[in-house]
Order: sequence, then structure tokens, then C-alpha cells
Amino acid sequence: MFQFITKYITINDISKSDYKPFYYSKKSILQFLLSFAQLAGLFYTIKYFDIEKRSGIGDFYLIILIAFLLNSILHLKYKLFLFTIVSIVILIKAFGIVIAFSFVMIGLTIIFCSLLKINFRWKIFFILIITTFLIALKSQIYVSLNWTIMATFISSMFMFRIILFLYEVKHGLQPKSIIQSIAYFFMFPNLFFLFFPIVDYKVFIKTYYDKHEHEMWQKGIRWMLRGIIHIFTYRILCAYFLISPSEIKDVTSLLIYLVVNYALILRISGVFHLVIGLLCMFGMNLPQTFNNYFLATSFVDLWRRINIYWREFILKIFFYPIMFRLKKYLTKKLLPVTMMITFFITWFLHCYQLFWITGVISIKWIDLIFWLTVGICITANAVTIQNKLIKNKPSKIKPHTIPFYFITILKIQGMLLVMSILWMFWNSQSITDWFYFISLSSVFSAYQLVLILATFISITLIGVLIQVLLRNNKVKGIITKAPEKTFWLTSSSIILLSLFTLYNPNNKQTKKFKAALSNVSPNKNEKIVAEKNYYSGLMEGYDEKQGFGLGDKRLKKLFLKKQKNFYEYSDDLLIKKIKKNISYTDYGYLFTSNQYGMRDKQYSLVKPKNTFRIALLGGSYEMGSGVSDKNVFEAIVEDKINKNKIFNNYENFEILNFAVGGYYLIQHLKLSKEEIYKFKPDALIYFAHSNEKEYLGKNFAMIIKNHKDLESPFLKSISSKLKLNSFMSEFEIIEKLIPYSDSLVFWSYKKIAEDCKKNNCVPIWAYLLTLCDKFDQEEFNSIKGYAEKLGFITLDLSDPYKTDKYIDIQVSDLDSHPNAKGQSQIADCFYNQLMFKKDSILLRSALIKNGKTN
Amino acid sequence: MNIEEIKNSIRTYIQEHFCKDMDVSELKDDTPLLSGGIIDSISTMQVVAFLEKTFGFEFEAYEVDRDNLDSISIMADFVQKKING
Repeated sequence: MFQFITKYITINDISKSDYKPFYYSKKSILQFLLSFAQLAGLFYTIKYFDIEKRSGIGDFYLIILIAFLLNSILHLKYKLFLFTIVSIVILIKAFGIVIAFSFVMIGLTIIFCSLLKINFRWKIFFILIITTFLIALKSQIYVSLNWTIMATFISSMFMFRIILFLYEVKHGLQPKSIIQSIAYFFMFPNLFFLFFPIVDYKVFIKTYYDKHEHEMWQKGIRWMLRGIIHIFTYRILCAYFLISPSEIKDVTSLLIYLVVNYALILRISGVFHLVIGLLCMFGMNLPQTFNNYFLATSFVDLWRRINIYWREFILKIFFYPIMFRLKKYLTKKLLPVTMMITFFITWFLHCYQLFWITGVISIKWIDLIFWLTVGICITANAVTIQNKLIKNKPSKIKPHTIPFYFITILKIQGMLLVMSILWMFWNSQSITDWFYFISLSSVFSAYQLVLILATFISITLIGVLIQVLLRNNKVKGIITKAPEKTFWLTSSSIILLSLFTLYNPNNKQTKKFKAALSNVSPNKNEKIVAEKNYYSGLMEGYDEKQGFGLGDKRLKKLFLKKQKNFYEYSDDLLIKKIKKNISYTDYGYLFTSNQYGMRDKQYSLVKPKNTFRIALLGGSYEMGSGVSDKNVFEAIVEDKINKNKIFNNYENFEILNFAVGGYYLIQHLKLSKEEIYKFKPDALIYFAHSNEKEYLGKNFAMIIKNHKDLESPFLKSISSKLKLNSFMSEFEIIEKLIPYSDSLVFWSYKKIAEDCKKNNCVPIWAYLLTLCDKFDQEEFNSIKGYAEKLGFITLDLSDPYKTDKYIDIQVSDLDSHPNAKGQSQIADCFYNQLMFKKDSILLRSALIKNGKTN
Repeated sequence: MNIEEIKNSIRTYIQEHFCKDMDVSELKDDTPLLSGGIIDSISTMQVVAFLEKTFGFEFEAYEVDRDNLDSISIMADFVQKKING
């Protein structure tokens, strides 16, 4: 029995005869201890700075460190078994035993089907049956959500690797032991990162412990460190340089947007370095995934440097087989035809990947155009290179000369610009948006032109200088030193990073810098559009039900209940309403609505005697998105006032919560006109938020884009004056509305105040700072001024949060709505403000009732 | 054709077509060509065409691989294996 099991979990016949565990010599023991310390230091940094927090890698650091220790101690033949066990332990810890067991069983079934000694077509047939089953799980037909989540993780492990595995098995590469195949699929870092490099099966087998352990450890450590640095750079770019599309006004802002947005690919290369580095620590001596892609001098060069594993996969599975099939029929056009077919497949595979990871089926023209354009560019470039090769023409400019360096740096800058433009196209919400932004390149001043020219010349000169320096073999030698020879440099960097975590800066700028590295940027929301692209979708998921990481706070809650939609959609300006009389548990929190479709308890239409009734108008913060009914700040304040009986002579105090997520001033006006006053409120609180004007503009643009009737003559007049229509880019509409934003806000406030007056109601204006926006004093003064001028009593909630670390009071790292703790802090602030203005409110209400004033 | 003749033929072709930017003396029999970036995926097909034409055999798609093309020595071994059937 023991022999039978051993046969399957070991790799006896592996040709690594010179392998010796580290404890055979004192030197190796020291090397191991130092590598272990480095790895622990890296995980400390990952944990402290919340590196890819959502992936959960930081939460499982202890398991990984123990696994590394055991892996180093174990004999080579048991190492892959341990590696697989680590995946299973993580699976059990994350999903529970039942799901983990099902996961492993499905995975093993796929592997065994691939290895069966039957006709290759039958193998494909069986795997397609399992694929259909997984598609059914993904689409949540007749299954609970936990099965869908499991299918996402299995898909991520198998979607590409099964193709490579079958390809190699078909061409004679049989695994030496079943554990080799299982370990190839069950790579535990894949459980953290669903978007994972396509590791080649042949390379996986060939590189396994093909070097001395110490060399691989140092390579792994260096790559993990490089990955962390890439992610830090990405975060710094996001915090300091990234602008939202609506901030593009002229050629300078356009250039910044283009380059920074393209540079956000650093996050992917960072994650891939982390993954491959971690695999290196377990003996998989894999090649690099990205190779200085910002330094590409041509399209072919870029194709060579960017996401190398993807390119290798495409070449092996599609490019070469297609070319060999076509070469019998085509001679002259063989290369361009093969390349264009390959890029068409690349586009399809991006959709395929998106579906398996996020559950989104997205067939978009913009994607197809992007991939075909990239394909055409690379093909044209490749054909030119091929022709040069055939003609064997010598280069006009001698290499390693100053003119050669000049041309190289010009090519690099040119490629960067062209790729940034294409990247922007790919990530634009529509082609009209992209055209609109590109058209802004014609907006410039003389100063801007000089600035751009000076930057360009400086980069060119610095680039030439660097190349001249690199000509020196000594300098080149330092840069290209093997990882094990730069041990002290790597270690010092890790120590510095660890020390930086202990440093508590007093300086505002250093504080901001540390916060940026920790991704605690308070102004996230305005940049979300800018950060949103194909890859961010793969890394974070479009749909939280399908694409997320093991570190997601919601993961366990997701297993409790299936998400339900508590909105119903309407054709008018409101767009959506809360369903009446519902009680849902969503992501583990209770959402209840009353008979009128408010997220609130039951109230009578007729106001009870001796009751002070306030109607509240607001958005998702006031509705309590992401928290249970009892945690919504409106409910907390209502209960507290009733409990303390502090609204003078009134026995009862009611706040009717009319807030709905996604409602802005235009919806509030409609709501106040049609719904609110039949409840005879004594006062109405309108909750304004940070970035009030911008959100109003976005809401206006959304209404235009969705062909909704604006209803009000004033809004219609603005729309016709600006010639707004649904074919325009959303950003163009927002841009055109900017000069009108003040008058729009003022007009809306005025309408609310007028309605209040007509209905004998005290108008109250409250300003609440959101967690995703910066506080803008100028805007605050301006809109508060309007409110005061129009007779509102004002409440200031511009500083309600008791922490700078917003992540602690957010629903999750991706959902910036306040959690129960955040809502409670808002409740305290709201309560204090109400108490502070209580007398004014009551006095005004009394005067209105006596018909004296409003 | 012996292995040295095959190597010489391949070396001459590589030197003429892919070593314009490098010192010819740097090109050894075991210099990594694909993993070292001297030959890329597109020029690989040129090398394949050269080997097929010069030595009179046909590649299969799955044989276009680092295992068969990563250095002059590896290429020569592969060619000899193919010629000898």
C-alpha cells in the first residue's frame, strides 16, 4: 500500500542526481537561513503595505513560510507532493473542506482524462464535457454561489495550462510521475492571483531544480522584491500622477494621462514577478515574464518583451502550427496571414480569459479593433524585418555609436507614445470618448509646447548618456550580475523597506508618501475610471460574485447567501427605485425596505400626533450601502434622539430615509416633487457630498446618454443650448456642462427650498465628506453659500471620520462606502450637528406653523 | 555530412544574418540563441526555412522549440537526428 502511494506522490526517476538538501554543509545552512530571513522580510513588507491585499497572499504568509521551510528540508522526490498539499491546505482554509474536496476532485478528473491512454479526440471530448459543467457552474444555473466561486478558481488553474498540457502529452512528453502533473495545475500562488502567468508545462518540468537551491532562492527573492517595487511604483503613479479622464483639458494633461495610464501595467508585471519569484523559492526555476517593456524600440520588440509567457503560449499553440499548415498553400503572404490569424485568436483568448475569471462575456468592437491594430503594426514590423533578413542588407547606422543611441532613444519614446495612445483606445469607454480626448491634443499654449519640447530633449539626452555608460563593460557587469552575487544589495533593500514601516513621519509630504505606498489614497473614486481597464477587471473582477481574491473581506460572507437585487428599474429620471417590502440578506448584511420603498422601518403615511418628522434625501451613503439596517447612520441617530427624548416637546422623532444609491440632485428634485410631501414632514434634510458639482455633471451626462427625458424646462434648455446628445462622449458632455455647474446646483437647491416653502417644511442642507473624495474647501464654501442664501439651515459633516486609514472604515478595499464603524462615526457627527442646530430647526418649524415665516 | 560540417554551415548562416550588432567571436557553439535574444520568434521561421532547405528535411510545428534550436550545437544535433531518420 505504502509503495503504491509512494509511486504516485514521488518523482524518483528525476535526473537531478547531484541534488543535496541544504543541511549537508554549514555554508548551505547559512544560505538557507539568510534566504528564509529575506523571504520573511518580504512577506512582512507585503503584509504591512497591503500589497495586493485582495489576493489574500499577506493573510497566508505563515503557511507559505512554513511550506518553504518544509520544502527545503524534504528530499527532492517529495517536494512536489508538499507543493500540492500547500494548495490543498490553502483551499481548505479559504473555502472549507467540502468545496476544497470538490475542487480537488474536479481538477483530478481533468488531469486523469488528459492522461488516459485513449484517442486524443476522446480526451478532448471528455474535457469538453467537464468544461460544459464548469460553464454551467459559472453561469449560476441551478447552483449556489459557492460553486460558481469554486468554478472561477478551477478555471483560472486550467483554462490555459490544460491546453499546454494536452499539447505536450500529444507530442510525447509524458509526466514522470502523476504528481508532476498535479503540481503543475495546483500551483498555490494561483489561488491568490486568478490572473496568472501561463506557465509552460515543458518549461515547468525542465526547470524544476535545474540549478543549485541557493541560486534559485536568490533569483526568487530578487524577483519578488522587483515585483513589490513595481507595485509601489504603480501606487505612487496612482497617488501622484494619475488623473481622471475628466481632468484632460489640453495637450499636457493628455500626455500625462496617456503615459501614466500605460504605465499602470506595472501592477501586472509586479504581480507576475511576485508569482514567478515565489515559484522559484519552491524550485521552479522559471524564466522572466516581462523584460523592460517600456524600453521597446519597435512593435516586434515590444511583443518580445511584454508578457513573455503569453507570447510563448501563442507561438507554440497557434502561430507555428498555423504557419506550418499554411505554408503548403502560401509562400509570399505566409507571415502576414499567419500573424493576423494569430492576433485574431489573441483577441478571442482575451475574451475567453475574461469569461473564466470574471464571468463576463464581453465581445466588444473596441477590443477587436485594438488587437487587430496591434496585429497589423507587429505584422508590418515583422515583414520589414523578414525582408531585411532575406536581402541580408547591412544596417545603415553602425551599432554602439552616438547616432545609433540617438535613434534608439527616439524609437523608445515613439513606441511609448504610440502604445500609450493605443492603450488609451483599448481602455476607453467608447470610441467617441477616445476621439474626443485625442482631439484635445490641439489645445496648447506656447509655454506647454516649450515644456514638452524641453522634456523630450532631456529624456533623449539622458537616454543617450545611459547607453554610453552601459557601453562600459564594468557598468554593464554590475547591472547584469546574477542574483546570488547581489545578495547584500537585495538584503539591504529588504531591510530598508522593513525599517521604513517602523518610521513614523511627522512631515506631511513623507506621510503622504507612506500612505501612497500603503494604497491609502483618499481620492480613489475620481481615479477609478482612469484605473479601470481590461487587466484591472481581471485582477479585481467586474462582478464581485465571480472575480475576487482570497483576501476579500466578503469571501466568507459570499458563501452565506446568494446576492439579490433590491432595486427595480424605472423608465423615468429616477432610473431605479428600491423594491417595496423586501428583506434580503446581501453579502451577509440585512437590507429591509418598507411599504413605500424606503430603506427604513414602517411608517404611517399620516404623521402621528406629537411627532417631529424629517424627510432625508441622499445617495448610497445615506441609504447605507454595504451595511445592515441597524448600522445605517440615519437609523442610529433616529433611535438615539428618541431614546434621549431631546427634541423638546415632541414625544416621537422620525427620520424618513428617502435615500437611494445613485441618486443625485436631479433625482432628488423629482422625488421631493412627487413623493415626499404626502408624508407631511416638518423638515427636509438634503445631503450634499464632496464633489457635488462634478457628480451632478456626471449624473446629467448619464441621463443624456440613456435617452431619458429631462422633464424640467431649465434642464432641457441647458441641454439644447449645449446641443447635448447621446452620441457624444460622456466626458464631452461633462466638460460642456462645467460652466453651468454652479447655476445647476443653485437652481436645484432653489427648487428644493421652494418646494419646502410650499409644503411648510424647514429646509436643511447637510454636507458629508465621502471616503473616496478629497475635501474641497472652495467648493464647500460655494455650495454652502448657496444653501444659506436660499434659507437652508446648514449642517457641517465635512470631518466626520476619526481615522486617516480609510480602509478600516470602508466596506472593502474596492468598495469605499463606509462600513458599520464608518456609519457609526458619521452618526456621531450627524447627531452632534443636529443637536447644535436643534433650536434653530424647532424655532423655524414653529414660525412656519404659525404662518410667520419660512 | 558530419556534425562539424553541419555546425559550420549553421554558424555561417547565423553570423551573416543575426550577428550584425555583435562581435562574431562571441558566438560560440553553445551560445543561447533563442533564450539569449539573438533569434526571435519571427526570425526563427527563417532559420527553420534555412535548415529545411540546406539539409533537406521537414520540420513539424512542435519541433520549433528551444529544445531543438537554442544553440548551434543543439541545432546540429537535431539536424543530424532528422537526417539520419
